[in-house]
Amino acid sequence: MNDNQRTGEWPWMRIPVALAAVVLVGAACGSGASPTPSGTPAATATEAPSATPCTPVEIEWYVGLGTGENEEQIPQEEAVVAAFNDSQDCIDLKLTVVDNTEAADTLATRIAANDAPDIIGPIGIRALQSFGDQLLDLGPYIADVDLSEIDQSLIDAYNVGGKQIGIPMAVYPSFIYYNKSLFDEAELAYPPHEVGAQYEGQDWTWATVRELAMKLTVDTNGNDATSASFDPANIDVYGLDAQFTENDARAWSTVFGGSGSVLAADGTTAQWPDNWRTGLQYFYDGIWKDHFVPNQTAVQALAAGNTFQSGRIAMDVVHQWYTCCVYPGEGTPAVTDWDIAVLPVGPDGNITSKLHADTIGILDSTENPDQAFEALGFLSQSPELITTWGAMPAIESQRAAFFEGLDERFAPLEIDWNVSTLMLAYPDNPSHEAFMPNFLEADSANKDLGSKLWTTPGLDLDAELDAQVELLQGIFDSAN
Amino acid sequence: MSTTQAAIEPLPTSPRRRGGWRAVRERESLTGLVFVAPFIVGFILFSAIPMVASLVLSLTDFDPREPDEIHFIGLANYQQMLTDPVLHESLGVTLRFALLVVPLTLAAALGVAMLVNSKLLAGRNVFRTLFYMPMQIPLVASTIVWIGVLHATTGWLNYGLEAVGLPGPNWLQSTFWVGPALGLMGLWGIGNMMLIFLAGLQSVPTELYDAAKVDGAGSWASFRHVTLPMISPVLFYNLIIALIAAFQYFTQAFVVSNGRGDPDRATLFFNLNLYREAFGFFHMGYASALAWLLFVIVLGLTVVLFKTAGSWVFAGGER
Amino acid sequence: MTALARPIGRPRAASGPLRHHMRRFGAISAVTLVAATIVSAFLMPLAYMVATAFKDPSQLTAVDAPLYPAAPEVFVYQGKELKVYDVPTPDGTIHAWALLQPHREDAIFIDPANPGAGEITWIGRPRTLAQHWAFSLKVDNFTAAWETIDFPRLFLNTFGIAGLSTVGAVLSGICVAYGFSRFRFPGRNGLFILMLATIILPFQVTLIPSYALYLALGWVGTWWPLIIPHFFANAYNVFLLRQYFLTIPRELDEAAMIDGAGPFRILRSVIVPQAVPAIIAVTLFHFFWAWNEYFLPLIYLQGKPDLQPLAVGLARFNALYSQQPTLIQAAAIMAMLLPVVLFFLAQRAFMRGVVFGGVEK
Repeated sequence: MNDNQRTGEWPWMRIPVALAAVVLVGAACGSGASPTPSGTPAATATEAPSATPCTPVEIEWYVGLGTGENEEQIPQEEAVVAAFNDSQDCIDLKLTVVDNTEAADTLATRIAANDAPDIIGPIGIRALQSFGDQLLDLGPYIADVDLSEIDQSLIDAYNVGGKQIGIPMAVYPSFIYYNKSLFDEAELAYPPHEVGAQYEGQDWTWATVRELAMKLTVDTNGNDATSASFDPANIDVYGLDAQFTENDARAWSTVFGGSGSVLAADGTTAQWPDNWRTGLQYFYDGIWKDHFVPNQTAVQALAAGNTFQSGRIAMDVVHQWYTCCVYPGEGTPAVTDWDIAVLPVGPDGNITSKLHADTIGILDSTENPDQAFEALGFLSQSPELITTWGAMPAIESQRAAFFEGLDERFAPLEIDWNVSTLMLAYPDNPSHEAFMPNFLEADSANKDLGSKLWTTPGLDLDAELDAQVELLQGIFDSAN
Repeated sequence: MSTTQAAIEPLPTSPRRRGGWRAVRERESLTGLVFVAPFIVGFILFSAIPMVASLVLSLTDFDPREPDEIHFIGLANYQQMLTDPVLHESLGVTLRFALLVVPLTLAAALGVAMLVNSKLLAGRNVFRTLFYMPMQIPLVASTIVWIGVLHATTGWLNYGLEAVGLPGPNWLQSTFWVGPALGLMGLWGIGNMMLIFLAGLQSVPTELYDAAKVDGAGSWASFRHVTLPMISPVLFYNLIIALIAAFQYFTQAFVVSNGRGDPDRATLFFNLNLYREAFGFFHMGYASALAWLLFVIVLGLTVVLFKTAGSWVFAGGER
Repeated sequence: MTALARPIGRPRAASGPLRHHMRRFGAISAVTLVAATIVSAFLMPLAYMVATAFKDPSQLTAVDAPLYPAAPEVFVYQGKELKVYDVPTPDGTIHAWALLQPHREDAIFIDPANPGAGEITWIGRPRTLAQHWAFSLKVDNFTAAWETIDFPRLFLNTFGIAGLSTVGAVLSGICVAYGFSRFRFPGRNGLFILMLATIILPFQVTLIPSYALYLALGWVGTWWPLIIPHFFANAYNVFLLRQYFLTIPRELDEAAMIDGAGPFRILRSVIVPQAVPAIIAVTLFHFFWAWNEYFLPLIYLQGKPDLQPLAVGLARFNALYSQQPTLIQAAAIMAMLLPVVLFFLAQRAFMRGVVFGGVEK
């Protein structure tokens, strides 16, 4: 296996720390920065004297590994590509969109056949685990580009073994999306929008969330989950969900338990830390004992996984990028009045808002790296793309425009986007997507576990987790 | 009944005058090869290289993302197969499925074919079209439909079962019921087999049925002694194709389990496991070895069936 | 091999024509009824598909929605759309009121017949009330699907790819099957097994070498990888045709040979007419398979939405985070219309070919 050729020390742990620093640095620098992005390659390109005519070079942009492949985003992407091509003569940008389920194998096939595209993105950290070694070193390109608005430690986090494989483009903190109509029906106060605020005289912790969620969970007879006559076989509304976490046991553990790692400090021993056990137990009991979280069968019935959009989930822990899909397509949205709230304090005493990040990368097999970089710069700054992807800019000064775009999109709702900015200060560290030896297989094993918990009641969680640790140890060991 | 060796040289002129039996046979060989040539050419052009390449890849540690970093590792992949528990599980899943689905779909296809072949059926054209229709739905769409129909609480199948007082199981989340669920979905794919059986049924000479009736045979006996033998060539074809399809089962399992083989590996068919190894973990070398293992198994089964075909398949024009 | 078609209902001569008539009618009705029951059960998922294609997406997740496509009855009050429910009052009457604000143990309604009366407070659990639904087909799903993926263009693409590939597959299949079934040549059995081998090896492992091959030929991004290989015969078609050719008696060949026909003439004038049902079957199978082929067109036509077939375009509604089942099913129904009509028309030729072929024994 080629894992031993991988540099292995993906410093993903550094990203959340770096992002926290971004917020602080950005806040300290104040809002003196101009609204137009200053440190961007696109700005550099327009300054470059390219009076000499050039033969157009074809650059292919491959979309599908992350977001960007649903049928509302595609026309936006096509329009942006057309605008880019119209604005200059040297680059002929081509868009290729592949369905997410086939995107990775199609890309691998093309790489193997030496027919790789030039730019891939948006890609999150997991896609980078699959294709990170194939990305181009962007170091020479960003040497004379002003990236002062992005914190250096964040840029460093994408620097592996001397190779700068990406420029952070977007960050996605997570928070609670809540359905106001369901709160109104239950005559309950909305969750807090400020860190440290209390909820009805109680501290805002996961225990409080549990009580609240149980009051919000109601069966077809109108009994809520705190009532003795609650019927778990006929639930109308669920109080809490964490949709689109794709069965990832690490992600769920982090949401409800706080930051942790499957790797002990020595980097080779497998473990499942106590706060993660507590977090998973909370979630597991929420599904099977207290019934305020939907199980896999219920999730399938709730808009095929897009549960919040079904209008039958009261609170949902999801990331900023979910704004792409709260109302997928035209039609009557079942959730009409919603807002976002801060996350509660976890068993480890901290707020943990698990973080996703996106970038656009260049494959190192490209024949035209200069042009690819120019196109990359343009795409990662395009306001239309950022809105359609729900991509909160890594550069703080661009966020106001981003949120304005969202406000336009969701008008007449007034969403309190400040919550998102607040949650950015509490990233998971180490990241729930951090490197593991033999990552792809270990990740798959974690998803197997998550799927099992989501579909099987009555399990002894500690025993399952002990078995999982053993399994992971075997996978880690075989990475050499 | 077919003619015998005496018909090798059909022309009335003597073979000796035309250069002998060997020349005749050579001419026949040549003609035969000429007709088969499109396949040979196509095989050389489009199949040989990929097949040989995949065999070679099975002896390496090929990772498609790093095609230049390929190393020859001999039979290590094949050795790994011996101790890979997931592989053994996937073989079990596939075998059990094949044992369930192949007889089920063959019987259903034959039954439906006989039904729409019946002269007592009004509007046969319409019924044939209706039974064939599921074959024309794009597979992804139809699998999504089945996922909806099989849902434990909102699916129509369970509504129907509960209406008659039967408990509706959790078809797609239960490790026990997911196999039968896929079997049900497989029933939707009998259209082609039904059509082939129809062609076979239609070509059974009615005189044979009349003769059987004269001999006092009832409908079951006439089915066993007239219908089955006369359609045995098409039955053989359907059997081989169904077997190959069962061992190659992939797309529905992939869509139903989101590519993961859930619940708890109950849908981790051999090809799904192969796909995971090839494109999930990028162990393309190991996946190639798996492919050739499947190849050997299925080819072996096919050859065995062909060899035994002589004893039960009636071929009127065979030589 | 003649099938004597006995026309339904024509009375026989001699005794009891009426009783025979009725017995036969009874048998026909019974068989037809049984068949109708079976086909209804068989096609139940298709009914689900059609229902879904006409529904609004919110109906799919609403709790008490009917199975048929329906829209909630609404009453517009102060600019808001309020859903109408059946509300029982203590005096025993049931009112059709519009729900303004639900709570757990009470609710506020507006009476559509008398909105001026203002808000009516009702004590009870609104979640137990039956909502008013009215049958309503959402034809918009079809127009949305049609426009979003440029249905006409994809339809033509699909027709082109499937049509061309079928022509090649059938022609080459007939030739190769003839060779395998009527001639002896060295290595015949081995070649046949080799042909079967090409469909036994899982495609995932030949994908990369095939892709590299087509790339070298310059065919990636065009229809050619989906069409040309079928002109060289594929195992499914050849296998089926060969089995069928084997059932055609050799006396027919010999009769033609006596008349001086060469092998190609025999193929054209003896074998093909005898094998019309199998040839039509192969044509239909291949066409329908090519019509719905998904994965290879996806790989070879990526980045070229103008060349893609319907199956690939349909996948756009199945995105990871925003699956739209109503649009998928609407598009699927539109995509299958042509094949269904084609089948309905072709089956007459399929059956007719069987009835009139044959040798008197």
